[in-house]
Amino acid sequence: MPKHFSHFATFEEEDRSTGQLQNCPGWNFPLRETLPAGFNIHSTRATQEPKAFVTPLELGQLVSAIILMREQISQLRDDLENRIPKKPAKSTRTARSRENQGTGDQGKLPLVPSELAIISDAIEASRVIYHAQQSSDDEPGLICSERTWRRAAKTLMDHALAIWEKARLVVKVPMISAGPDNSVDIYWTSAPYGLLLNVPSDEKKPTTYFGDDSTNSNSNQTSGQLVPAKRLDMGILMWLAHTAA
Amino acid sequence: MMSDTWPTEVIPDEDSLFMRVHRNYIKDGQPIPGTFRNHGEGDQDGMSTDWSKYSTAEQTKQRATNPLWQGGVIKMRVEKVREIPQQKVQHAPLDDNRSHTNVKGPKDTKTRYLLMRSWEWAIQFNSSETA
Repeated sequence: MPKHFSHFATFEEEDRSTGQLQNCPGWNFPLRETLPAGFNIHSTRATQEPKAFVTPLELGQLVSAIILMREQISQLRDDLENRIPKKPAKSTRTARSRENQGTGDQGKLPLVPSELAIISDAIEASRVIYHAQQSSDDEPGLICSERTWRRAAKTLMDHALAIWEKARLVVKVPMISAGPDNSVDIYWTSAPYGLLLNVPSDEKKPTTYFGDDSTNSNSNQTSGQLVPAKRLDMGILMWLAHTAA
Repeated sequence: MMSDTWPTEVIPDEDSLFMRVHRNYIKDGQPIPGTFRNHGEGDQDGMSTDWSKYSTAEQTKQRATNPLWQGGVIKMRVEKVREIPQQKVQHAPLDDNRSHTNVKGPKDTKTRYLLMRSWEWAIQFNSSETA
């Protein structure tokens, strides 16, 4: 048996006349005619010194060339990135909603897409209607409770969100103000359409609304009530879609 | 209380009504819907305005009792106000204000909305006055 077959012989005795391993009859392996370079396969022990392919000088040149190529690739990538037009930012949900502060589900604002940030901002800015402090020489303005304001804000955002999700329309920013008897008014005007929504301070009472088309007020108008158990009202949704930008 | 000095008259549709709007009731350059509300009791229950026959917008503004009062004056056509369901325009003169007129009737959501549709500035409030 040639020297380079000695290792195999320790595991499987090969029948040289048939080319089959004794424990694997029927398996025909080609006879090895060359030595593996450096290491004998199936062994971690070097049987001879590996052949050196490059000199240290050549290796240094090779490393330099690789570093240069990497720099060139990096530059090309930067150039390409600058030439490709930037895609618009994907619509993402913002964390603009404020956490409910122990007022139950009614005051909880949903997460909103970035397109509705103008509505979130308007809601946020309207906090003054329950924060308002008046000097003694002023005529007292209308005020509401934070709880009523939260219910109004949620009603507004629920409808704005529903219109966005169904029709990809952003409703016009309304005027949010305190109304009579500590209620909250939400008023839209977008010629010729308009809508006034009043959220009462009494949670058991329904939100009332009225809207019209000023060019045809007698025959083209909407009105109704949104009972506390309902989150959305079709009349409000349809009319708000008219005011959408 | 009604005036003994001045008789009550019928106000024609083509006339106008003036109403003061305090700065606390103005937002984004327009009155808030809550501006339209009733005041007073008994005979004087209603939304307080001045009849254009006996008052100018400036006189209406000057009638504010508080010298530090800040705001504007809006104008509404009587005909427009009367078109709003349940609203009645009634001359209700006071001894010191012959023009005084009440707009009677509930100021519910529909009424306030329609009143929001029927005003225009007679004296616009300049927010820089407050600075």
